[in-house]
Amino acid sequence: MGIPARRWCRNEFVHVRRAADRVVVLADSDEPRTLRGTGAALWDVFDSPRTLSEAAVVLSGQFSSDPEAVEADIAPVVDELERVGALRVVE
Amino acid sequence: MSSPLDLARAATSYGLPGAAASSSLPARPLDDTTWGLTLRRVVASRCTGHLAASISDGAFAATDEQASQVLDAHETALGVDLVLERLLVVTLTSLAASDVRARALKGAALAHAAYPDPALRSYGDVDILVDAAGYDAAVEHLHDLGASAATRSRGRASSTASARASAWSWPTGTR
Repeated sequence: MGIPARRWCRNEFVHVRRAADRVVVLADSDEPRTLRGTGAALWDVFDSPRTLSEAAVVLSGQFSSDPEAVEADIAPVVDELERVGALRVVE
Repeated sequence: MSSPLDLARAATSYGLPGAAASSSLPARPLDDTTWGLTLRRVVASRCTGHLAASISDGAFAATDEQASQVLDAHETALGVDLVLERLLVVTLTSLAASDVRARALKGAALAHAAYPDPALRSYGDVDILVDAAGYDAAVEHLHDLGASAATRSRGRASSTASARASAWSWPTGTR
């Protein structure tokens, strides 16, 4: 049996506001971050726990893109959002 | 043509009960000068959320550039809101842990309690009401959290029925 894929979801302790296609997030740092366009869509996808590939499938449907390409694109963004505490790994 | 002040008033009440009819909003994009003055007033009154909503709904005609300028201004305002909101949560949590009774007032509280979307209600500071019996403990807590008094305490301390008010600021400039 293989190692289960990691799942992420939004950190519920993060402060968030939405404005049109922008999502402003205040996580662990004192500096708010803004996710725009596809970044905001990525944020929406993690309203429930998902693996990278699950998130990529949802986003590829929204943006008519190849799921593998989307997964490669979002991987560093998810890493960064986890690093700053905006997303958390679900056990 | 309405003045920037009238336009700003109409835009900043957009979507609120009793607001002026949307007919007072421009049906065509404003010229650069009128737009600039209107946007400045809206930003100063921290009502970029209402203007952004009115443009998004098509009630306030704007060019793509003007719509983008509003969103940029709104994004900045929301960033300030979030920093203040976290400060408020940290402060109230700290006070509650010490059994100091306190409540959030005005902007930050209204944003979540009275508006369909807290992004519609921006604010420039946070206000908390502290039980008179816990006032001195609250002051101590604010010191511990890194705040410094920006104004002297006002009011009489001898009576629990009296009100004491003071303003505090953080090194980041938040209040």
